[in-house]
This record gives sequence, C-alpha cells and structure tokens, in this order.
Amino acid sequence: MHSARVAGGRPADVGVGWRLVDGLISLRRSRIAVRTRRFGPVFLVAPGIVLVGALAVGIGTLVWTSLHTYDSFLGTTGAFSGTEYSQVVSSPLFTVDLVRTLAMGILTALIAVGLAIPFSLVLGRTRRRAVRLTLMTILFVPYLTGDITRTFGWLTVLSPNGPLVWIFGKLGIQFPLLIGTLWAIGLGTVQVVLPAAVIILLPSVLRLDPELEVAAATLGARRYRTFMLVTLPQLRVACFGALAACWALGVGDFADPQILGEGVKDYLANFLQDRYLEIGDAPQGGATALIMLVLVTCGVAAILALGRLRVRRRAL
Amino acid sequence: MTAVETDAGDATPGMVELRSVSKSFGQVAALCNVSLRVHDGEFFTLLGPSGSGKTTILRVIAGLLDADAGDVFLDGTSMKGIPTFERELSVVFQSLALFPHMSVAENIAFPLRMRRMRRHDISVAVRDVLDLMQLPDIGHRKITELSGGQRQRVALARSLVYRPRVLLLDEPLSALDRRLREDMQLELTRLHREVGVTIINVTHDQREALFMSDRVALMDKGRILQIGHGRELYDKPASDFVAAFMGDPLLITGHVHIDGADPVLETDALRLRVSRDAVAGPATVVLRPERLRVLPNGADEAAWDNAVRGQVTFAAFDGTGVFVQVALEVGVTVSVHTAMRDTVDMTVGTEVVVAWDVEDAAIVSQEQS
Amino acid sequence: MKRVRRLSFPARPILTAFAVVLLALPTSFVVVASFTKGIEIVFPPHGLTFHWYLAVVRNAATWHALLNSVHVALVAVVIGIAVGLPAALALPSFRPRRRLLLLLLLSLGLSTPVIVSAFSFFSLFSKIGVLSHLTVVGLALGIVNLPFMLWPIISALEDQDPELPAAAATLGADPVEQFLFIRLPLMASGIVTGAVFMFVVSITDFVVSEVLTTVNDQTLPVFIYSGLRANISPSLGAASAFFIILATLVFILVLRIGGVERFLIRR
Repeated sequence: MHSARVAGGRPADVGVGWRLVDGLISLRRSRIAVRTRRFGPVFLVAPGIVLVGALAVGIGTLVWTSLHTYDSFLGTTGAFSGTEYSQVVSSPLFTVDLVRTLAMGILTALIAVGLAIPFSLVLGRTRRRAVRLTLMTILFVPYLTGDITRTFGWLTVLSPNGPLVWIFGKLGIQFPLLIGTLWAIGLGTVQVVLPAAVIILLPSVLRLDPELEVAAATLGARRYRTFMLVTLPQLRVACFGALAACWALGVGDFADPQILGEGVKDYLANFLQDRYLEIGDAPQGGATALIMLVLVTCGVAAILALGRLRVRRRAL
Repeated sequence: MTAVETDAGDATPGMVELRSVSKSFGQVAALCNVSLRVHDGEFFTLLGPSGSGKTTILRVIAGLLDADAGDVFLDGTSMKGIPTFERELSVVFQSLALFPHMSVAENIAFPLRMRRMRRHDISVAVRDVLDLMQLPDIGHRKITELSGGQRQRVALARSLVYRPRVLLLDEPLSALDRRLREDMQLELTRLHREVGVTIINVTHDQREALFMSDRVALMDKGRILQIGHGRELYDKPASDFVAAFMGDPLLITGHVHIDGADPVLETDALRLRVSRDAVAGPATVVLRPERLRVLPNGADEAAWDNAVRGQVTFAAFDGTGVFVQVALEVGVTVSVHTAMRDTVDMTVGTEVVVAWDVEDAAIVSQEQS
Repeated sequence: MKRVRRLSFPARPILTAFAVVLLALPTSFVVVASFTKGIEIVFPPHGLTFHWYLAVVRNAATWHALLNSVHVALVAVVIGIAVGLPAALALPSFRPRRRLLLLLLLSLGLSTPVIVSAFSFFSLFSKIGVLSHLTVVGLALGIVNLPFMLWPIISALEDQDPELPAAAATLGADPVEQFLFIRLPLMASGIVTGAVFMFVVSITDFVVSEVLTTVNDQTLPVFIYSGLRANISPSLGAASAFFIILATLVFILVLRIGGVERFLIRR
C-alpha cells in the first residue's frame, strides 16, 4: 500500500530507518499482534505493576516476619504471634518516639500549609515572570539537592559558629543551640514538605476568581475578612489535601531526626532502623513499619474526612 | 418518516458515495440513513446548522468514525474495513492540525515520506505545491511563525501535495475573519479549478456554500433535506426549512387554489398570486428580500403580479444597497433589499407598495414534507 | 480594574519571605561553607578558599562514592523509562476509575514512608540474596521514584492535540508511524523532564541508599553522612555543593524545556 500511490515520484530505495519502520508496521499487522491488541494497554502497564508489586511483596515480607516470634539471640523465627508487636509497643522508647512523631507530624503539617498558602498565592498571582521563576526555583532546588545537602545546610546554619548565632550575637541576643532539639528537626521537616503543599495548593489557587475578592472589597470587607471568608473557603479542599500530604511526609521523616536530632530526638522511622539494624531484630522493625503505615493511612483518612465535614456555622 | 434524499436518476458512479449510512452516539442519532453521491472533480458542499451531522459524514468518509450501518464507497470501492491511512484522501481539519514540531516544508513533506518518496522528489513536490499556494519562500519557517492565512495555505498544501482523489474540508474557514475568509473562498475555487480534485466541503455558512460549490446538500438533524445546485435550493426549495436556511426570507403559509389559470395562495389576511407550477393544497410562499421591489405610492400596481401596500418602518444603507422593512396593510412586516439605483423615497413612515412577479417567489408545497 | 487597590493579605509578603528564607538559606549556606578557610565552618568565614574543592577532587574515596551514585541513578533512570513510559502511554486507554487506581498503585513508592519502602526492599533483597549489589539499589530507587517519571510524561500527553495523530492518519500514516513521528516527538519534553528528575532524586537519595548499601559501596550522600558523624568539615560542604550545582542545572534545564511551568501554572 505504501509504495503503491506515489504522487509523481518513484518509490525510493528505502533507507535503513524506513526499513525498520516498515518492519514495525508489519509487526503491528501480524496475526499475533492483531490477536493480542486488546491486551496491549495491559501489557504496557504490566512491568510497572510488577515492579511496584515487588515493593508490595517486600512490605508483605516485613509484615509477615513481624507476625512471628523471633529469638534475637539464636536468630530463629518462631510461631505466628503478636509478641513482636507487644515488645515494640511496650518499649518506653517507642512511646516517646511515637508521641514525638505524631505531634511533630501535625505541627509541621500545619506550619507548612500555613506558609504554603501565601507562597502559592504569590506564586500563582504574580504577573512578573522573574518572580514566578525565582519562587519556583527556591521551592524545588533545595528539595532536589537531597536530604544530606539539606540537613548539612541546617547543621551549618544553626551551628554555634554559624550565621544565626553571629547575627543575633551582634544584636546582643544569645541564639540558642537548636541542633539536637525539635526546633531544628521541625525546620528541616517543614522545608521538605513545603514543596508538596505548594504543588497541591497551586491548582486551587489558580482557579480562584479574583473578582470575588474585589466584590467583597467593594462590599466593605477588609482584607483579613476577605481572606477568611472568601479566599480560604475556596481553598478548603486543597488545604486538607496538603495537610494530609504533609502529615504523611512528616510522620515518615527519617533524615531530619537522624541528622538534626543527633540521635536524641528519634522519630518512629529512626526507631524502625534502630530495631532492625542496630539491635538486629527484623520482626520488630517490621512491626514498627506496619504501625507506621497504619498511622500514616489513618491520619490521611482522618484529615481528609475532617475536610469533608460541613461546617455549620461561621462566626461572622 | 423516510429520509432518503438522493440524486434520483443519477446513474454515473461517483467518486464518493454513501449508501444508507447511519451513525448514533449513544442515544443521539447523528446520521439517519444518509445516501449521497459526489461526482469526480465536483466541488460538493454539506451545508447545515450545528448538529446536523455534516461533520459526522466527513469523519465517516475519512474513516475516523465507523458507521453503525451502511457503506462508504470511494471511486467505486467499498471502504468497509479499510482504515483511514489507506483511503488515499485528505482532510483539512477546522483546527488545521499542523504539526507544531515540524517546519512548513516538513509538514508538507510528511505524506510523501509516508509514501516512501525519494528525498529529491519530495523537495520538488513541496516546492511545486508551495508555488501553487503562492507561498514560495516559507518552507523553512516554523508553524508557530505563520499568520492565519499562511497556516490555511500550508494546511491545504499539505493535503494536496500527494494528489489525493478526494479533499475533505471540515469548516476550515469558520474561525477566520470575514476578509480572510472571503480570500480563502476565492483561493479554494481557484485551486479546485487548477487541480481538479473532488472536494467535499462542510460549512454552516450558506453564502459560502452557494459561492464555491457545484452542488450543495442541505442537512438537518442527521438527514439530507435537499441536494442540488445552489440555485435550485434557492429557487426551488423542497421544504420550509430549506427555504428559510438559504438567505433570509419571509415565509407565508396558506392554501393554494387554482383560480382559473392562475394559482393563488390564500391565508386569512391575504391573497397572493403564485407560480404557475404550484399545485393545489397547503403551501408556503417564499418572499426573499432581494427579489421584491419597493414602489412609490401610486405606482402602477397592475403591472405586477402581486402588489401590496404598506408603510416603511425601517430603512438603512448597508453598503450594498438599502435594507427596508415595510409593514404591509395585510398585517405582516416584510424585508426588502433594494439596489442602489432605486430612487424611491424610503424614509420611515412613507407609504409604499411592495411588488413582485410570481417567478420571484418560490412556492413550497406542504404535501411533500 | 487598575483603580481597585490590590488586595493582599497583609501578612502575605512577610510569610512568603519567611518561607523563602526557610527554603533557601540552608542550601545557600552550604555553598558559603564550602569556601571556608580553616577546618571549622564559622561565620563569618575567616577567608575563602578553593582548598576544599581541590581536596575533594583529589580524594579517591569521594570519586568512588560519586561513581556509585551515578551508577545507581542511571539504573533508576533506565528502569523509570523502560517501565514508566509504556505505563504512561497505556494509562489513557483505561477507564477513568481504573486509570486512577493504576496510577495510585504505580505511586506506591512515594505514598509509603521512604523508610518503610527502604526496609521492605532490604527484607526482600536479603531473602532473594541480592542485597549487596548497587544495581538493585538503583532498581529500588526506580520503583520508589516512579511517579517522578510518570507525572511529566502524563502531563505532556495531556497537552497533546488529539487531532494530530488523526491528521497524520489521513495523510497516510500507519499507527506505528503516527506514534514514531507525531506522538513520540511531542512527548519528548515530558520524557526528558521525567528522566532528569528521576536522575536527580536518585543520585541525591539518602534514606534508601543508607539502608541498602554497605560500607564498601556507599553512594555519595551516604559517604557524606558518614563524614558528618565524624566531624562537620568544609570538605563535606564541597562535596554537597556538587549536588547543589547539579540540582540547579537540572532545574534550569527543566524550566527551559517548559514542562514545569506548564505543569504547575495551568488550568
């Protein structure tokens, strides 16, 4: 068919490239291809599903080992039981780490979303391209540099010899040592979840109708009121989505507590590693992993459900 | 309700033929039992309002849609089971669908590359077609750098370079401003004359249809209402819808009696003489603004088959003549479009006479529809 | 419209500025730190020097770690393209609900906490017995970071004019030709963006590498980490600066390709 009708020219000696293309075309028309065409999309998605399935299997093995007793001395696995869980939960460290993780998770999520809203509003509404590009760069590049570079940066900024101590020293204020405290970890966590919050908020911010705010202004509302009563409600769904994402990322944070917490302010993630590798008790690590998954999932579900609650009254 | 409107008695095989094609989208019937035949080398227009099914027909012919029933023939061969890329036709989409990642020359060369033409022959063909479109030097330009008119021409060039047997146009001019549209209409007729390809054009603009086509098929709601030369649809509409779609007439429905030798259309309010071809029964007379005359009060009414008195309610010069609205004493208001040369006083309120002969008004018998 | 005074939440610029400082300060300071004269990082620096960069460049261990990182990142990119591109192409063929489900499944790596994913792979790989190979670390990263490859490609696909392949068909293009000459080139920007993102997040990855690598084949971030635990030296800053430069270059490249701005600032 292809070489049949050529308007005025001769069918060419096709080059290698075209021969390849023709080969692919014949392949597409071959009987096997026609028969399997319906399954085409499935075949294409299959590798991805298989690989992700490997991850799922890995999670499964973690959970599986966690459901058996384990003798860390002998290194043997015993019967089906929940003892590993009780061992984990009964550990005093666990309780402390758990409370710390959950509290910081919520706190950093709130702060991050609180910062993400104005950030997204500025980013979404600025008419100057330079501003938009700068903000996008500042948002993403630190995240792209990776956990180590990020936390190293905090270590140097917050160090006793660092710029903050120096600046405040000039002002006569003794800047506290934050490394090893929750403050440092919090700063790091907010820094890493902020981009996610902005990505989730941005589409809704862009969909905001600026005329509504103008209308509110002409009706006499002051800026704060306008924001609370006109802007924020429209962003509601996105806010809760962002909160959920920040919660998930914050609860799972490993690098910030590990490096900025200097090992004294562990999160559950560090606890997990501790149990698995340091103590060598894989089942307990697995138990912690499952607990983390449950916490993240339940938290996300709870936050999103909260977002859908209809707010009956709004004090005007 | 049968809805097959074909060229009865046309025995010659056409370049494009549809036989009883039907197509539905869910509950919506886009095409109902459509049959038509387009002759080789003809400029054929599918005319109709949105939703009439004209674009659907085009897509079925092109193979982009499969008909639920019926068959499409190209040059005598059934297209059942033959995919789009083997049908040897070309389509110009409303959006033009120019490939943004290729230059003008690459766009035009694309169909030739698909046919494995030799590179040298390709560049000759591209150059020739650009000359044909009167765009000699823009081969290297990116699509994004072109003006609206240039893009239209490049799209046409791409669709003609491989000498397809049929060119399908899917309202490509509807997004253009008036001047550009009129230029392109002339351009298309010129191309048709020079290249001789069969063209099927889809449009909702009846002026465009009349201007460019050899024959027109008027469609509504998935059915063909009338096929014929533009003049036929204009002078001998098959239904009220056809009459109303072409131009901007006043339709008066009544009953035709054969009063001696002259048929007369009667309503409660008036009595008009109509064409001698009229048959008795319910009918509609079609009064087109450009076929009526405005006479000053006191003119010789007997010289005309029909003369009705009235008062001018609106008159304005519209660039090509004077547009007048006259409230007739029988109770209707009729629009008349007169040539510049008429020197009748048309200020608002003037008493005038609207006159026409029976051959100036078409008569549509209601028995058919 | 100009007469109406611009409505801005009074605290908006302040909060945004705070966010900017929060985001940018630590990373910029790494660069400052890497030029510090003297073995301790002090502010203000006693002097500026390229010394640490030279030290890093001369250090064989750093190169070794860097090569490991590149190895891992390249494997991740290859996996990402080989698996992510077909998946992204196939997704539109599914009904919306199934499409969403598949997309969520494929994003499993990012939706579970990284530490959990890391140890899942640890558990799985040790059971299979492939634990000490860098390539499997790359595989793990490819799976975890798959969304970074999927989203840009899906975004590029959505932006495509669906009439273009149809036009190509009318011009005589077989579906294979439609794909190779129309769809694929128009997707190219998405594929490049995805690959580049995948490369960066994999080469800078810390958590997964830390769990899965051993002392002998550390990737650069893990290498820096072990240095951190010893003492915080400006040489680590120099090594980290590599990541900053890479991330910045990558982001500029991606901006120029145009995908990011369109992805964020649309609708």
